[in-house]
Amino acid sequence: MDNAEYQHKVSKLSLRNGQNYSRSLGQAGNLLSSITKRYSTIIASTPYEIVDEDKETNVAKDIIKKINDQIAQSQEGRLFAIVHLAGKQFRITEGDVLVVEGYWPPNCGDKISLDKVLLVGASDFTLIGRPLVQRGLVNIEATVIEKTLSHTKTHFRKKRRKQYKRIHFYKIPQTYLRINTVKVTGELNNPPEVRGLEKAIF
Amino acid sequence: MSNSHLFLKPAFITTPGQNGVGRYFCQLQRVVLKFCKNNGSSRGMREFIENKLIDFVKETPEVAVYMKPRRHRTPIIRAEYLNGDTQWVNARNFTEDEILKWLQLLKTQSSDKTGIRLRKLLHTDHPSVQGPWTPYTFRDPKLNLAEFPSPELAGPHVVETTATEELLEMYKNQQIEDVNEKRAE
Amino acid sequence: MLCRQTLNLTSRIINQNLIPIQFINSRNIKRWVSPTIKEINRRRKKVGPDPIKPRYSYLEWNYDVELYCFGKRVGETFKDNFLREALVQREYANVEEFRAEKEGNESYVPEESNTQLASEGHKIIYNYIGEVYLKSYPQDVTTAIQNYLTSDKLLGHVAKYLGLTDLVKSVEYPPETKTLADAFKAIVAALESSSGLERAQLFVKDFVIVQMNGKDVYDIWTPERPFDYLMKLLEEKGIKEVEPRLCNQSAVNTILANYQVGLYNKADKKLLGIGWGESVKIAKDTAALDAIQKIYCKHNSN
Repeated sequence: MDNAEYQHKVSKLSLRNGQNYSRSLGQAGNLLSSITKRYSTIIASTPYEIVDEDKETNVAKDIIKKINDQIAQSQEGRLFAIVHLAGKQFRITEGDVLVVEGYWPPNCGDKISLDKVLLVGASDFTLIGRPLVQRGLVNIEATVIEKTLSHTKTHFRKKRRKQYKRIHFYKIPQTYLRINTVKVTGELNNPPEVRGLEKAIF
Repeated sequence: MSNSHLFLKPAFITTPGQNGVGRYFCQLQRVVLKFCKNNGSSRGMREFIENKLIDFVKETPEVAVYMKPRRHRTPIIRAEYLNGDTQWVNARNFTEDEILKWLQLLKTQSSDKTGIRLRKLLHTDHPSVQGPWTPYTFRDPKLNLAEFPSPELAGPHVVETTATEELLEMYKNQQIEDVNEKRAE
Repeated sequence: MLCRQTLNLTSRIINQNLIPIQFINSRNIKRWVSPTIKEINRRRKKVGPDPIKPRYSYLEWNYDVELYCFGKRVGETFKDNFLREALVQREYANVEEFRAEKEGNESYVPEESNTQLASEGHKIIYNYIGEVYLKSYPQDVTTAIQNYLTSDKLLGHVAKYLGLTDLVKSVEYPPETKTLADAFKAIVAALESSSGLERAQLFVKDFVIVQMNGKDVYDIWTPERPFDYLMKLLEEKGIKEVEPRLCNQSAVNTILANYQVGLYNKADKKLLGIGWGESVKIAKDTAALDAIQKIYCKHNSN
């Protein structure tokens, strides 16, 4: 291995904790190995780690390929997802029933798709959105099965010694949703195009 | 403030007919409108029957609507659901719009919900997809071969660095920097 | 209620002028109220609850409207005569015929019972479930599911939540589970002859197969000896030897002992299934069940 090639390789190595050691790279030949050696011998020191970017990207590619293969052969099994719906987050999977509280326009029998997906998981992998999973990658469909009112809630205010007492009763509209499908469509990093969501604010 | 809701009947979400998994079907079977033909408290009900009932029935052919006049009694709406529940709504002095609104509510419900407090807003049959945690999850494999009693495993498991170790580390870091500076010169 | 009755009674008495009117003017403490109510309640309790009145005995009942609404509710179009026939229990038809004979009613047209339709419907349901499940499960699992989904208990449940309790013409009320199940099967057959097999299968899918939601196939079908069953399965796949390993154990020699056993392929040392149990034998069986599920579940979402 000649010197230029070696230096190229060394320059791709960086320390994960963000410290800048680039100024010493010129003579870094035996130094780096000594650092790693020294730090590995200390029993409970700060866990410095040398990261090879090439290796990292290869590992990532490999994992993504594995997931894509699993999805293509539909061997991913049951999926669960975390969706953001009407101001709350729900962990859902196929066949669940969830209740959305407050005024919400959809009517009974309507089929809706839930697009604000924060996370999708299967038994072998988890896709975590930053903050949302790629648009169009996950297809979650739900049916509105019931619209009703909650139990009567009491709002009672009283101020002592001030002759002030108010009592107020109210009910909250509730909408029951049945989750029909939770599916990953298309490939990771290459999801199918979705139309009609241009104006949606996520 | 008030905790009166604690005495309501607590319940979880149930859907015995599995509505919505396949097709959606209306859970209200039939509705009986009981009213008086000349009492003032039934006025709204009579107006509803005259003006709005036909439209309501056309919109919802899946609900059987019956009318039952009876003298000098308060008007009520009696709703019967597919799960066998019956619900009465006292419609005394209701306007026609109020009656329509109540009927729409009854139509979208699946059972009599009065006096029932939901304990959870989510029902799932698969609480864990990736498997629940067990004491065996992420267990160090070297424990399989460990022989007890072992002096190493008997003591407390210390993760934090001691002050001495940190000082040593700082000293060594300093040494590296010294070497680097010398080389740079 | 009581007030109303007493009021009626007193007004009647006053009208008949049987008792002098000054009796009513006396303003004493009404000591008779409490004992009377107590006595009425006691008698009420002694008699027991009222028998359940069938819905068709109410004044507000129109069978034609109910049938129309039923069709609309499930979103299917039925031929009227088929639907009517599907809802008649066999015993009911017989009893009605005997009664007409006894009364000498010659204009009575005997009603057809749903026996024929029910058997046809059973076939449709059974075959369609098989069709659906054979795509992803082997024959013995499919048969178990077919039997489960066509059992009277499950179909009775489905029929009950479709509102057939009030629609079925039966001798007893509320109708028995078997009556309801038969009526449901007959309705499927009626739908097949009204709108075709495809609609009937869709109906079965949306109302019967849907009942598998939230249920585990392997709760319905479990082999009696999982380990032997697994060995048979593995032999077909060319794996001859299995190596059970005790992976973890805790609380040994206590009543809450727990063992974790993993089954490994002896040739390539790969995990086939893993299971827990309070003894090694049970853990081995659960591991075998897990392995069987892994083999069968490959192409399923469950």
